[in-house]
Amino acid sequence: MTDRAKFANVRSMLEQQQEKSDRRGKKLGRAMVPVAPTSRNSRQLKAANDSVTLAEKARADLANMDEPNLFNDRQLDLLGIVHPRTKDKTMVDAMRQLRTKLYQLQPNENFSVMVSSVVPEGGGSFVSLNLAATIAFDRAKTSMLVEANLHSPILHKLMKLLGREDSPGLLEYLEQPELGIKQIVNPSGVPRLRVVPLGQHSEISAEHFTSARYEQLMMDIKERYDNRYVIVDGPSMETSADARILSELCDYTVLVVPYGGVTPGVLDSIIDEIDERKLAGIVINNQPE
Amino acid sequence: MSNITLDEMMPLLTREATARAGTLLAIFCFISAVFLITGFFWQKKYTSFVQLYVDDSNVVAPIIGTEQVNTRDKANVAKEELFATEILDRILIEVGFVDESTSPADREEAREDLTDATNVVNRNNQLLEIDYYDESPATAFKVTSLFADLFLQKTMDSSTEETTEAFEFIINQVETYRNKLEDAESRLESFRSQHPGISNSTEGNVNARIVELQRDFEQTSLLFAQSDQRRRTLQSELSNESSTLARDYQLGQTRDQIAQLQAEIDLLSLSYTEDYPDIVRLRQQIEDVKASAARRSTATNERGTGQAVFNVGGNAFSGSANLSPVYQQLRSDLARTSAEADAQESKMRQLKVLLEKEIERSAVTSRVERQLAELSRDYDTNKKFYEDLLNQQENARLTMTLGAEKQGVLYRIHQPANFPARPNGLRFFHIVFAGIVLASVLPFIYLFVFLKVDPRIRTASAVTEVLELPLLTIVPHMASPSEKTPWFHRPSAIMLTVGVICTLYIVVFLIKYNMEAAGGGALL
Repeated sequence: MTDRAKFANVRSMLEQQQEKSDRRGKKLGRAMVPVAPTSRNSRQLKAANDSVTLAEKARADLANMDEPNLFNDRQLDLLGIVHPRTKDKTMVDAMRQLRTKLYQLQPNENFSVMVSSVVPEGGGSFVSLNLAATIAFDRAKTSMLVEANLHSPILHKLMKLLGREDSPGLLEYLEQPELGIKQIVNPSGVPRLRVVPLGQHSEISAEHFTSARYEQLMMDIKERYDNRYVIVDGPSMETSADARILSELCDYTVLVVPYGGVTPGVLDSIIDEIDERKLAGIVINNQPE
Repeated sequence: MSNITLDEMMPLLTREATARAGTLLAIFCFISAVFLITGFFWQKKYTSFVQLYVDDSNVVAPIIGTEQVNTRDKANVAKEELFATEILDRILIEVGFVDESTSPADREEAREDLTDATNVVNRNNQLLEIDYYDESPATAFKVTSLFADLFLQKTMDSSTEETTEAFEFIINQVETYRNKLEDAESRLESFRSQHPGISNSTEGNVNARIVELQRDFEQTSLLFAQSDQRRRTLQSELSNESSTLARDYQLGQTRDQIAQLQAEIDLLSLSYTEDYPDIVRLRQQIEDVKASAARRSTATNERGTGQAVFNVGGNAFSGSANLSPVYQQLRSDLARTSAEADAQESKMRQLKVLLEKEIERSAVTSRVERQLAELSRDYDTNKKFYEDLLNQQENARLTMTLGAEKQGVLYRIHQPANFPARPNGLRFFHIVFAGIVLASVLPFIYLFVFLKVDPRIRTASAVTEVLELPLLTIVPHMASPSEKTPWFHRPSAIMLTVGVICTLYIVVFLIKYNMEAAGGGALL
């Protein structure tokens, strides 16, 4: 199935779901999935926020996150995003293993990690999206996927499905000082997962990633919430120098090696070009069953 | 070359086989098809063989009387004779492979085909096996039989020819040596008549005589040298010895008187001068005594001349009665010694003459005996060869008789040509079986080799052991619900394809079976 067909499929499912929800809402007097937080829950959380510290307030803010248009399991399966009820338990276990190993690197703090494929079409975006989704399994944690893959962005499809295709993205933020962070952070249809799409700016310039604004952005989105994990979807290491620049501003780097796609020599030469202290490890992707 | 551990290989093979099911299936189908087609058109081979017993005892060897060591491989020798053009052509015509209208090029090709299909093997150095294979058992049998018959005929002719030539040769040799022997015998007799008394021992006797004469001559020479030396010594002693006793006494008395007078002079000289009268007197007396002695001596000598004088050893002695006994003894010894020396000298001269004669005789005897020995040797040699040849002539006559009765030929049929009832070599079911096995195994061998050769990263060990990097996880392929599996990846499709191929095998087997049954040949 092509991406376009997949997109149409998910779009039609979403529309049907919205219609169903509207009908049931009219019938039962309340909204169905996508579920927005009820006013009662919101009040309870607001009351709790009064008595917590600033950090707790931030955590409470996470709980208060606006989660419009959440995807159901079928939609997530079609989009290739793991969820706790994914039938392919091997896949879920693999992503949980990846998440756990990253937690072990820095157990007491949140971190930012750049996920980049060694070669183009190596599955770096797939792994970064699913890593972010897996971190968001935990109700006490949230994740943010920053799309910085200039060569093959994927989030625009997601944004289109969510009706946010016109939202400004990372590139607009870097070029337009008047834009705030809040304007580029978007819900993803997955609970506790926020995404910063690449944006639709026609002029693509890698120099933006070396700017102080980008550095400030990374610092802000990581430090705003101590339980937010930032995942940067970087371009492939073999073809783009951006990945090396992006890895400088992240705590860790994860390299995605496509199964049977890279020789040890190529991988070794790529590792020589990055800061090995930041290399969290290797992920072999797309192993046949 | 990838670094895949044994633990990883089986799961890896399984995964890759699943992922590459289409390729593996294609290899399976291709190999099966190739073997099915090959098996269908494969022609069976029927091999007929004949075994010939090789008689190692060469027919010519007993005639010639020598053991011939045949170092050549019998199979090669037989092959050279077997593949002679006349034999091959005759077989080709008899079997019907060629006829008069066949072109020389085709005929040559037919010969090559015939030799290619024929194999000559030397078994245990005693049996020679001729194999021939053909698609038709009757043709194989016929060709093998013809090969055996024609080969035996050829070797028989060759053997008879050799035997006859050898027999004629030995007869000629007997005649030649008989003439030589007669000639040597006559020359020996003629020589003996010219030199009577000469035998092989004559030279030895002469030499012994020469040695004996030389020994006597040397011994006599030594004795003569001793006698001569003693004679000279006796002569010397005799010349120094006084001949008479009186003469010696008077001489002694004169000396005593002179010595006494001289002593008185010496005494007086101590007290007086030389002209003292007593000294002068005494000197005068000394002179007188000397004069008196001289006179006596002269008188004695004058008396001696009138007496008989004899000479011994060159010294003259008077025959007066007052001769000295020592002198007489010496004179007697000298006379005896001189006689001995003269006798020995005479013997030496005689021995020398005898020795020279014997040496001269020896030279003549040696030459004659050499000639005799030469003649005798020539005679003995000819006699020995003649006797040997007479024996061989008898053997040759016997061998000729055996050859005429076909008892002594080099090759005999040990096992006649067989009619092959069953084909040999590769047959249809062999090929089909090999096709099934290879079609099943080769795809996995290909996969195994591919995984061993391809260095790309597929396993955890490639990351953790080769590159020594941390491996976070291995993400499996995530199939989308809408993703369609290719048909050749579906187990049902794979099973169906394998089933179709197996059915094809059965169908081809049945067709081939019916064809063979209709043709009357051995079934498959």
